[in-house]
Amino acid sequence: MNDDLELMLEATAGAWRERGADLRPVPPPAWWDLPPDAREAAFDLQTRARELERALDPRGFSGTIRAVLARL
Amino acid sequence: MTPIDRAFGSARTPGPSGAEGFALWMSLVERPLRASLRRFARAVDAESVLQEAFLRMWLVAQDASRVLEGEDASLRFALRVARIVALEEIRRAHHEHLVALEDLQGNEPSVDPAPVEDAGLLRAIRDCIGRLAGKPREALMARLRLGHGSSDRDLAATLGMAVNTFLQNIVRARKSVALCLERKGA
Repeated sequence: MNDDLELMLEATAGAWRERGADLRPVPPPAWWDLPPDAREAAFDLQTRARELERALDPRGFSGTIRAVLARL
Repeated sequence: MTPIDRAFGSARTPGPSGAEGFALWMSLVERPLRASLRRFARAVDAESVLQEAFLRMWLVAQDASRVLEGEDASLRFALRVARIVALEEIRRAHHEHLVALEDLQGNEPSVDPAPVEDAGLLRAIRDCIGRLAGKPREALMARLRLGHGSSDRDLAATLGMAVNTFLQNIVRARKSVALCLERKGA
């Protein structure tokens, strides 16, 4: 995997998402630039990233859960 | 009643304890819900879809008139919601060609409702992250602890790094953690 692709994948791995005009979460710009095969790699990286967050969080919550809680 | 059903029931409690119950419910169903979106990964950003699905499930939890019946009913309902959100996003992006026809039309996949937490793996992850040092550690810890509420641009600025440098440091940190876990056989 080349360095540029690694950085693009990493740019999609966080749980923070901008909100669109309809308040729905919007994919990061880097996600749109990924070819379809790399989007599957992005999915896998996101999954692993959430597991690391769970492991470090005192309540075992991933970044996804904390991002949603902040919106309730 | 399953732990998932109990947690969803507690999410219906008014006030802060309802949000706590909902957080517990999300922690129980996040893995199976995310896994159900794997088949759409070429066409949608699963993280965006999952967050939107959770927000819709919060509205369901707040609607006292809505009754979900049967074992793990809230998980089965959430699987349908996640699929609907994914299909909405696929249509908005005109990405139908990136998804198998049976996944566009089919039912929810069978999922393990409550994968067992692997305590040994959690310990190994914590140990491997603890061994990180320097800028890679700073960048990864910022992302893991604060990445749900701040963009990479903001996190990088807080650490005095350019965004690309911030991302490079996280990539390095992830590789170190992966190698460490591999050596532990995790």
